[in-house]
Amino acid sequence: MSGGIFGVGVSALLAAQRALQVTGHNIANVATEGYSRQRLELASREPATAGFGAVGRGVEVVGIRRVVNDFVNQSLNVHLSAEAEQRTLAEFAGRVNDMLADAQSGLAPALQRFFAAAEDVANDPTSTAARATLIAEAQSLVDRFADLEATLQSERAAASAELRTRVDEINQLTDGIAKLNQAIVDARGLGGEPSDLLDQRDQLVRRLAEHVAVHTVEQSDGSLNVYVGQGQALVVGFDAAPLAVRVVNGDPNDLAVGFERPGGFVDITARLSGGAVGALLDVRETVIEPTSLKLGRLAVALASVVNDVHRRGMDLEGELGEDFFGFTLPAPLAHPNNAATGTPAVTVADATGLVASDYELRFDGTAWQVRRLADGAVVATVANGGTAAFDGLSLDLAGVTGAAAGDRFLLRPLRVVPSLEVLVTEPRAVAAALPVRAEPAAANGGNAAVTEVTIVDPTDAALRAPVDIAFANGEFVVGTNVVPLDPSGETTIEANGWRVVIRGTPAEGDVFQVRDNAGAAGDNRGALALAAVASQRVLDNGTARLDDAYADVVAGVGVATRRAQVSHEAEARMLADAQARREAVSGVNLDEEAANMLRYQQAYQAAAQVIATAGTMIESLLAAFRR
Amino acid sequence: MRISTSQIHTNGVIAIQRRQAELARTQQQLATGKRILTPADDPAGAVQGLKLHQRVGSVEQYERNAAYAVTRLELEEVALASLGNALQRARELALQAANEMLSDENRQSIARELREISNALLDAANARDASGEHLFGGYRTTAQPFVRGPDGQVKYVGDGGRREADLSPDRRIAVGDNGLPFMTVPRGNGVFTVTPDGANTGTGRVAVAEVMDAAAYGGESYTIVMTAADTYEVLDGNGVVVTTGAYAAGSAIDFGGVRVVLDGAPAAGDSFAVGPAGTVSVFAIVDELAAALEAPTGAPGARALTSHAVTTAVQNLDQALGRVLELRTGVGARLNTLEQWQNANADELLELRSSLSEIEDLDYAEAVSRFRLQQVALEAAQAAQVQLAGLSLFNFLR
Repeated sequence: MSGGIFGVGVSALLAAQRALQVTGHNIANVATEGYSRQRLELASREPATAGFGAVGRGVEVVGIRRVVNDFVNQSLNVHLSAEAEQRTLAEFAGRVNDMLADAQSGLAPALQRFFAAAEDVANDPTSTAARATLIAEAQSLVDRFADLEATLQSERAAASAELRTRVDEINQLTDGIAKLNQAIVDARGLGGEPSDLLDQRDQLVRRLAEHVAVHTVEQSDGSLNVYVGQGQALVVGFDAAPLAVRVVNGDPNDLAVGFERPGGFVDITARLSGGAVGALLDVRETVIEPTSLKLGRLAVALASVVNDVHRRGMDLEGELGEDFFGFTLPAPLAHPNNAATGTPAVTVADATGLVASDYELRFDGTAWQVRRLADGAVVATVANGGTAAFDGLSLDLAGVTGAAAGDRFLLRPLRVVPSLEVLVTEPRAVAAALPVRAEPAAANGGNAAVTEVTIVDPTDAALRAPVDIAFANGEFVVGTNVVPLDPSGETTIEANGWRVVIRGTPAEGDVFQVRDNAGAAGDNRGALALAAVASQRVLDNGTARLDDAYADVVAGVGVATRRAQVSHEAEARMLADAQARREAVSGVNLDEEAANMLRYQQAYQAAAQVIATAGTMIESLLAAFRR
Repeated sequence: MRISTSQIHTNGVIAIQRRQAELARTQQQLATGKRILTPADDPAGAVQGLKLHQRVGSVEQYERNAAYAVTRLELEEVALASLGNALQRARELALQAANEMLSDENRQSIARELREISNALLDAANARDASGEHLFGGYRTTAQPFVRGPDGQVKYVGDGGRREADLSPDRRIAVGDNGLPFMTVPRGNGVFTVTPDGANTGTGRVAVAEVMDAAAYGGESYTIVMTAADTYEVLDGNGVVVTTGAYAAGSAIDFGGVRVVLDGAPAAGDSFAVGPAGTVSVFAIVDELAAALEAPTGAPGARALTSHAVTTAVQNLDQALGRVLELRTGVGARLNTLEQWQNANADELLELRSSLSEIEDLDYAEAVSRFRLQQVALEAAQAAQVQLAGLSLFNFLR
């Protein structure tokens, strides 16, 4: 009988000891990340049967269980991915946003000052200082373009570098998960739950989820399979498949992620989503590239329009203006597997039609299709060796020979900012005047005056030839050109590459002289035309001014950043909730443990008392025999 | 809900960090005075701010343009005023010279002053603006536009250009005039002139020359010939007699839509040429008068010629003064326009700046009270954190 009491006492003592150990373990791990609290599972021992009924034989430890809820853990993983994605997106977009933040250092004031400098040249066309200021402002405008583009490119480079680092970390984590799978399966084989190993594995999965959205499936043997994207396995059983990074399009910052397989590289970039990696791939597509393309488009439009106006002007030497800005459209990139040789030629035909996008040129065996990458639309179909015009660009395939189906070229015509430069360096070379002037002859009897002279075609050989427009019998005659007097009182006459508007009533025999304007240092019509570019709607098919286009860039980045920031805030709260839920289930509460400690301590003391009592009983018995 | 110990800490830390972030943002707003720190804070507002900055910048530039224009037009007005004064003085001298009692010496001294006036006119017409450009050269502002040749004649080497300045994207204003109006002053009455022949011997003078029927006179040339001391005939360009009559001093001779009144006593054979007015430069008007006054006036015919030259010079000077007045009126009108425009512009600038301030600038009262509130919230979160951290059952296990 006393043996029974001893047995019960000892079992209670051991159980309490074990419970105190578990409580101590919980307390010890209160600050351990990913630790799930453990609980001792006790059960009463199988009772001994006596004639009168079952007699309890004490307590036994059934096991030590970690308190987890798999559903809560899965949802935490999802929120970790989402939060990390929005955080990274907000970080990168935020840096681009900061770059555009200061109204005084962005492109807008530089643009404004350039056109203001043109106005100042118009105010004082003979002033070398005003002309030099215009050139300096043009240079600072080009510098601002370059600065913005450099910031964007450095963000691109930062995103690529971070992508490489994160892929390395993913590989380390998946390797760790595979090894833990092995250890867990082994431990299960020995019996018992390897709680701390499971916690470690869950913690690795959580860290993995911050890098990229993952999906996990626990196998019956206790190992965990990890998948990314749409079922691409990263860990299966005890094996991890490492991800690899590849440079594409010959651009060290254009990266693809995939698996190195015996058959070759398997690109899964498009399938990766969520987590920081998803954000790094996304930020390129949604913030950095569109901003860079829009800047490039702005640069092309500015340079094209200003050049066009400047070529119609005349400088202080009496020469026609040269191009004011220089830029080169980058050559199309040929796909490495192309059978075709040669490169397509791309030129800007009409800056107002430009669309902020790259293009892909693909040969389907009979014709080339031009696909606009911004929206995937096919904008042109070109026969082999033919030409096409689309989105303000013109494409000439005459140089491409031997094309086979599937051949591809990547056209990036708007990546011009790095090549943008100011070509006019001499103040005297600023074309502030127009090459011809027109005025009524001194002897004219009528009151008609020339209100406007425009250069239509500066390349016309006869542009600057002295010409008289004679008025007789209600008609203006220039050479073989006869224009009747317009009843509105404003007659437009075009010849030799110029256009003249005459307003008023000419008298019979009146003559209007069109003359070479060389030597007219005080003529500011060219500068006025340059300054007028600021208010011309030269983009988006004649609906947007240059500063509108820049405002569009700022708005695009601002909206994207705001969206990322708001999403991140929401995701951060949802993540906090998910973490709170996990903590509610698995977290250690010290007060709870303290209470448990008291409870188990008392249980231990009571068990000890049971043993002591049993001992006293035996001693009483022995004393009886001694007598 | 069950709360874990680390959750209590995390919650407190997150709350404190959030308050700190809010405080930092408000602090940055207070430090910069800006409501919008980056475009993401308010993309629409940021873009609107950008456009308003652009507008302010261009309006300021247009103001600079206007200031340039005002300076240039004021200089032009000064030049026109001195041209007008010189012409006015020439007219006074011409009226003095009309006095028949003057001796040749008197006339020559008047002529000397007229030569001076001619040079003063040239100086005024070659006036420069603040940056040394000639005001009346058209587009050719670097070379002197009016040049006196070796023959004493002033030539215009400028052109017919007229510089303009931008006042807004769709409004331009002329900030000068070229020198052509000075070179093309119509002679006499502006339609036709009557010129006594240089070989006339009588004292017949042109008293009146006026257009009776503008439609009938088409710029034809006629000659009035005194067939005797008391008869005349009018021949057209082909020598065909148009009309004849008896001459009486002060009586009208009408033909071809014009009326000519002669007085004095013309001699038989004297003739007067009638022809289209043509134009003359302001310099030539004065030079011609000076030359006429320098000629000796011994013979009666010569006296009549001088007297005629003086009369036509007065007419021509009136035409020239009209021209200058016309230009001055134009300049004055433009200066007026510019002043009104500048006032309107200043109002617009004020309006733009206040819109800009509404969009961009911080409401300090609101921001400061927000700052105080956030400060209190942060302090409360910190105090709560310390209080919570001190709460532990272990404190009672002794």
